[in-house]
Amino acid sequence: MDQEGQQKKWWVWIVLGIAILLIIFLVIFLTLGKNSTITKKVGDALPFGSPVSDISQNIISGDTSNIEGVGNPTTADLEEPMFRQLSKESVAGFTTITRDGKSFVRYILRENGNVHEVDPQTGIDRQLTNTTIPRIYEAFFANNGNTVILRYLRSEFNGAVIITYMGNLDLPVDGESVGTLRSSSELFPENITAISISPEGTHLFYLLPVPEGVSGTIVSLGETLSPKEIFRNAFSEWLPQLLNDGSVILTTKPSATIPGFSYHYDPIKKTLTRIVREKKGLTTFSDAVGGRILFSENINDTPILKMYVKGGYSSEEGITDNETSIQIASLPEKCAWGQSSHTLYCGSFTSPAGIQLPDDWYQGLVDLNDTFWRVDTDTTEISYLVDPKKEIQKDFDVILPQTDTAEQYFFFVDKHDSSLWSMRIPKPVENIDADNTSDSLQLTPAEQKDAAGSTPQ
Amino acid sequence: MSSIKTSFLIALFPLLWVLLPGTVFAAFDLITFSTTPKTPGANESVLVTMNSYAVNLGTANITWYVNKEPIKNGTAETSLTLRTGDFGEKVTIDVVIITTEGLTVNKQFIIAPAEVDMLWEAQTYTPPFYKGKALPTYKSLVRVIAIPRFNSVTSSPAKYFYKWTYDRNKGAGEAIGKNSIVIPVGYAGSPTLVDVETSLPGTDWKGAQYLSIPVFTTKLAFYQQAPLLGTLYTHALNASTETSGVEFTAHAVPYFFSLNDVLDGNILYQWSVNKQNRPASSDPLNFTLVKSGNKQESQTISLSAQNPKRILQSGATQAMVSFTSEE
Repeated sequence: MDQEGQQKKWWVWIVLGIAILLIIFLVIFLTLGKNSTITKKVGDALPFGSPVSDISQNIISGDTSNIEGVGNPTTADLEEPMFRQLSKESVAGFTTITRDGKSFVRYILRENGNVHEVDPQTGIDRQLTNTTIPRIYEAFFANNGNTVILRYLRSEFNGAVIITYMGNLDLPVDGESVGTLRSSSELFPENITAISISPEGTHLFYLLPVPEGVSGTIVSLGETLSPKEIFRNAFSEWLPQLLNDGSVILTTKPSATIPGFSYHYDPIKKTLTRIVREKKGLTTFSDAVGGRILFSENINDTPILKMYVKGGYSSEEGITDNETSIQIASLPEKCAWGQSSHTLYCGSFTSPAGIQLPDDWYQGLVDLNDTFWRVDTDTTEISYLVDPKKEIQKDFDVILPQTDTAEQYFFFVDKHDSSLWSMRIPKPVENIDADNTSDSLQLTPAEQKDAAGSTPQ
Repeated sequence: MSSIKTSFLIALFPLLWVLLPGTVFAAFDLITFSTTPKTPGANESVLVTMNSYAVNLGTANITWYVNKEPIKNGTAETSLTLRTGDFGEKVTIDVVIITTEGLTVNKQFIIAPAEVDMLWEAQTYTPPFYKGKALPTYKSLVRVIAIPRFNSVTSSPAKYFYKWTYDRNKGAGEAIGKNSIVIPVGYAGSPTLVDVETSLPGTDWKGAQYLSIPVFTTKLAFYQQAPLLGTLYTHALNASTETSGVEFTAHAVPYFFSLNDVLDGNILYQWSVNKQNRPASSDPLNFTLVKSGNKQESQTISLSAQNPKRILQSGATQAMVSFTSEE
């Protein structure tokens, strides 16, 4: 009996020893060979998820279990941080491109005009060009990220002159070494006041002051540029947005207490059709076709988002109304359309008391701290996504927002330091887990409190 | 007697029209209409009133038709309140007047509201790439532009006639195609009123609009002029700014000073550091602070600015810059 017990003990020790050795082996295997295919396959098979990539030096990951109002996170949600810093240096502009079904971000450094490309999924960054153009104030991409338009200042005795430069990315075929910017042979005039690139990236519209007001020119960004003046007006303080069909949304520059106007300009008929009138602090942001135009209006000193719908809404009384409210406090320049104009993603803030928006914000006198929201523009229903303060203990002041074609990410520049960030867009609850959908779209009391703080009282 | 006078005038009227068309028709019009407001807009309640020095309307039977529908009938019914339609919709008012003498007079009046948007832009300074509106300040110039339309679109503003007035009674010109004017504004807090009347010659379309242009105060703000990044317009320098370098360049922006005076170098700037006046550099809007020793130190930089040509355009600002390095 004693001998039998002794034997069992031995067997237990042997099994335990083997198990310990296996665990040690697995730990070493997973730690040293993170990037090998086998490791990934093994990792996938394990119940505790995939090994984390090494490219995490500039990854800021938060506790994703803490996200409120978006339902249970998916496996993908757990793998990636909610926010990722894509560039530590100041960024003048960026675009999203899709290659082999995957999203990348191309951005331009403000200090030298170099173009970089970063994979938002891993944070791996690659410098694409080394042509130095210092102190870029504004940068735009066109032609699927292969053309850049850089705007900078040249000092002159009585002030500064705005220079607009266009260059094409000349990238080596090996895909690894650094390329250059090939200057466009066509020169843009000095002191262009505003530029807009069409959503498809094929055309550019700019405004240039002329003695009798302003001139508007459209440029086809093909092999040879073909500028054509399409607009002249005695009023010059316009902010333009070029649409895919070549028409332009023209909105008067805003000030908090001054009623603004917005028009749709048809360059073929040469007609201005008014969209919205006499809205204080008016700024606008249209979808690609001009069907839905987001605008903000100051009500009780708070900018409220509204939307102009070209076709109009039919009310029960049979009256067609073109305007509807979106119950978050924001500015259109803090919002990005999803891939269809049914969805909108916005940074929303609580207005500090006693400030004039957007003037004080444009003048750099105030910072705004945003929470992130999704808007269903068919119903104007809003969904709270995330508060970065809770998520990663950081404040963001969103500018230049964009989404990728797969609508997986919301990219933006943080106005605090002009750094580039991505926010992983939480999937709508109904697509995540049917068992967990009940009440998920309803705002929690805490979120309702947040929302109340963002809307007019 | 009255009947004879009326009959005579009515008989004379076609003859005068043949002999002296146009102006005579208006001058000797027997019955005139006026509206309140003077130039009705779209979807607006309008009081139409009929007057005559030749016809005794006080005893006449009057029938009003709006777009050929009878609306009102009765003795001495000399006015009618109606609502205009949308832009592009004319309202045709026909009136049949039967005097006690048995004379019948038919009159027609058309209300064709043209809409006018009035935009304005101050000729004051804002920095490059600034997306906000330039605001008018003391005695600055403002360009006011009228955009008239009689349907949902504006196509040819140059074809309209414009008559401009500002400060209630100062004429600012009238002419076909004169769709903008440049006027001076007054003191901060005292808005300037501008009126425009427009019409499309040869048609019934008429419009009017007025505007109150507020006047603001000028403002000075400091920004960091970074060597590699340029001016950091996204953040004005606040009470305290830290730098790890040994030099710090502040760039001043004279918001809303008159543009010509800024560009022509007419603004007087006075820089001071720790309350000691300093001469401006070749660029009067930039000033570089230099750390004086090896230890941490703070310097308070101040700037005052005044436009001698528009004396109430002035401002002052200051910021403290802390050099944090010890080397």
